[in-house]
Amino acid sequence: MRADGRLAHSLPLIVGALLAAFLPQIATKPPWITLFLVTCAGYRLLAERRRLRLTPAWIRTILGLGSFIAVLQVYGGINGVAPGSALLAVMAALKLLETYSQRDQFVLLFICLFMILASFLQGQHIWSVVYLFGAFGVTLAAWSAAARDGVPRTGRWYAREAGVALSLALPLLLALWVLFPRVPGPFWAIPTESGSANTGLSNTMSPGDISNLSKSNALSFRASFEGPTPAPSQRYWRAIVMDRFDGRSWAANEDWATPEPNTVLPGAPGIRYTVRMEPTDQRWMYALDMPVSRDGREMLMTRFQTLESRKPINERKEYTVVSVLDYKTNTRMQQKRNSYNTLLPDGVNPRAREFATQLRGESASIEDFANRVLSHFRNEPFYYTLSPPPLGRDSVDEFVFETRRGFCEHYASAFAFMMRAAGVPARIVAGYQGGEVNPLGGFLTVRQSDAHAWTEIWIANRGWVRVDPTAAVAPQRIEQNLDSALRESGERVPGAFDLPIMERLQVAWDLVNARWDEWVLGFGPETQRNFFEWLGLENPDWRDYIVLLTVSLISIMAVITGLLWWQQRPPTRDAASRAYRALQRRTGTRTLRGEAPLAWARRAGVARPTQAAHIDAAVKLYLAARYGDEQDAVPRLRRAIRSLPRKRAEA
Amino acid sequence: MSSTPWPSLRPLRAGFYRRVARWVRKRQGEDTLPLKLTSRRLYILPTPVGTTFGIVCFAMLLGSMNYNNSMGFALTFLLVATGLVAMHRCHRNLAGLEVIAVHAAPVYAGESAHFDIEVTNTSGGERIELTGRIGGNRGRVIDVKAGNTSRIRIEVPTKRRGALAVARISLNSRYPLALLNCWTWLHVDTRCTVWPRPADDAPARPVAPSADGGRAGELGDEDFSGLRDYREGDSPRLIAWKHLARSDTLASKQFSGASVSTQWIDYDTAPGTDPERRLSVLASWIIAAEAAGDRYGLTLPDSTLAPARGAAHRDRCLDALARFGSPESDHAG
Repeated sequence: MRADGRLAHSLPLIVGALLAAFLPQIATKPPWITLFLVTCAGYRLLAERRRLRLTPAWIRTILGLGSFIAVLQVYGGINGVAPGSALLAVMAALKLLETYSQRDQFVLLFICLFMILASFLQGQHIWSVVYLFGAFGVTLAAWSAAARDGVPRTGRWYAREAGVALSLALPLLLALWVLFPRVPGPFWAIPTESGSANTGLSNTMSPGDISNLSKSNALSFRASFEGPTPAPSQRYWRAIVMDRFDGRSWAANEDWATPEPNTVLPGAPGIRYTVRMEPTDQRWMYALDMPVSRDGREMLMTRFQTLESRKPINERKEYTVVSVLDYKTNTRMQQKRNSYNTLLPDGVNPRAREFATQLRGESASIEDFANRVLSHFRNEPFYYTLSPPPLGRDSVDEFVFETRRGFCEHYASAFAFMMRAAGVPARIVAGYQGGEVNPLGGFLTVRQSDAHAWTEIWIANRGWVRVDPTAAVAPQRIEQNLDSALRESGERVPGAFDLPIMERLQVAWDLVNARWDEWVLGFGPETQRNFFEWLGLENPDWRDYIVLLTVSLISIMAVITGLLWWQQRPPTRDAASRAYRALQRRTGTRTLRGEAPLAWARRAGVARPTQAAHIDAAVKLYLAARYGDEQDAVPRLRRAIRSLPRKRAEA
Repeated sequence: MSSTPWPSLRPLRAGFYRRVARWVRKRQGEDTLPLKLTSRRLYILPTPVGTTFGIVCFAMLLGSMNYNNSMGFALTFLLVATGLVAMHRCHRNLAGLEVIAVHAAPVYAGESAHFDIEVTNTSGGERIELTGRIGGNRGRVIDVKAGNTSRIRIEVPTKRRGALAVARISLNSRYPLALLNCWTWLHVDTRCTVWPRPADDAPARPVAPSADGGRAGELGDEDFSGLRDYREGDSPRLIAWKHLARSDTLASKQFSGASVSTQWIDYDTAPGTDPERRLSVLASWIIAAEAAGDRYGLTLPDSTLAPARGAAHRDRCLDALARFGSPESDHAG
């Protein structure tokens, strides 16, 4: 197949659209992919210009197999957004090499659309809006060119076409954005990125682990309650209990999975709920403090009052649990292990150890002691922050006496350490806290950013009692969410400027980003519902959205139709005719019925002999405007009329 | 994108279209030109590209929902909005267009008939990428500027002598993005006369006595008016022997004068028994006679055309050949 120049008008635009769509991915993809795409595009454009033979099929097959294997090599698979979008770019490059018909061009344009979507799946910043309209605009221009069946037009014409299409589509886009019912997803498992760190909890906890996890907005699980959803401060989702401390990290016990039911004594009726969790490749499961029974035999109750699956959970899992919010653990059964829960490695964190012993001496009871430690966190300048300074060997000492900036794991770890130092059995519980209630679906969505760690201490006749030291420092974290807690502590972006103007700009930029997150990225079922309630709709549901959407789409389309009609309305009188009438007024001689312009000019010339030549020239301009091809005849005619003296002035 | 993705569906689709066409014919009735394309007679459906576009929109919607990706939603909605706008622009691009006339000049059998649809754009905006089709024959794609009149030419191949009747012409446009096809059906009785194909190997026309008794096969013989190329059948008396000696080419002397001879081209003198073959021969004789500047008349078993000269006369004669025996007309569209 030889390039024949038929695509010369559309191919450059299509290549431009592909490159624009690929632009945000250049930084994150291996450079050879960009190079491959650009090379294929350049070669294909040259082939069209020089009428070269297109690459033979066997070369394309080799290139295709080679690049597929290369993508597999880089990503270790083809599942997931990153390898998928890499494949898309490679496909676009290969398709370019065999593009010779209109159909092939449309295939490229569809690839282009998917490349834009893939870019969004890999990151949505405020610049994404610019990118969306830019890349889609070029794609539309290329689309107009590819769809062109008649004589090719200029690139400028295609650009104008794209501009018209985009500006007419904009109001519809806004209506769809606001009114299209947002259904909470996901419908199917999102492939997890291999090698990415933020997939969930782990069964060890070092300072910084959970704060890293909190930066991920990925879904962890959803829960639907049969009764009312518990208040945020009661939503402690336990997953892992860690009771081994090596001076820096906490870890789950080796035999943490030993089944041992009936360790919880309910003090109130249980609440029943269903959890749909995302795959973790681990065995632990999430249950509200404290689980008492569960449906299904594939999961166990451990002696740490946690739930665990018999097999690693590698696909979405749904299970039903009954928990009691008011509980007591079975004190008799736990007693024997309590010596284990006071173990600490020798020689670490001497200052914290000493401080704890001293406080314990001053306290009347374990409860009093725990409260004194919490008061210390509350009253001293401790900060709750997502980016705490790194800690060294004596992590608890450094945190409690020096840095005083930490995330939940720092507080939990320090608290548990001090409890143990004073001989009080203590352990860490890792899981999630809070979650957002979805008002449309009525369920609770818990994300990785809700990851949390707290402590449990043993009190003789009460059993394990939950103590959350984070609540002492940042109560908003527990009562509301992480975001409000961070805002309260005046979290600042690292590398903040000291110049007031820069600082102000940065604050403004932060605000813009916050609004972007809130109104664009965070626009979901809830925001939509809030918006409708703000509009005055009570208890809106998707039926209301559909009705409103239909009504607004129809009205916008009606306006667009009117606009198109207005653009196409027949001209009442064209510019040349108007100018001719102006000329008649100026000379004071009107045309007679059926009088030809030249005949009129002769008559007008006779009436005003001094201007005869001028009138003659003006009429010739009118004839040129009327019957000729000259573009500038009308403006020249107007100038000629203006330079003609009025009849009165002459007389 | 003319090819359908599933060729096996083609007969089904064709049957469906025939049915729809019959229904539309009944609904619209016979058209009289000129006519304005009103919304009532405009139809619009997605093209294969448009259908794919719709599927892609739906896939992107599912993807955006699943990943809960806001910008994905924005892209999806932008696509949907673009599609909706394209639909309205596609419709408006044809609405209000005026069809002035449809005509087709006669052609010889085997050539393509050129059906010209004359359209006028009285609106203030350009009409873009207009085209038409008759049956499976697609027309040229044209743009019509505001206030202009243009022709959409559709070439339809002819097979045999007679008339090519077109029952239905569709006029369509896929502008702006080829996602949708908006079309109208014109039911105008348009015929293209198909003359018999002139026989390439026609024998010389036998000399027949002309009606006015003059010597057939000769022009006037009073005044020598010049030389022309020798044609088969020219009398040896006319050959310019001196010219042949000088230039080695055969040429015939031509005379003019009051007595330009009148000749009859007669069906009965055409060789062969196959009427079509005879008509072909007659056609080539007519063309030859006209080219030679003769006056000629045509005698057919059922009609006679008085001798005359000129292109109009030739066309009348050829028309008579096309009509001879009232052949069934071919249908297209």
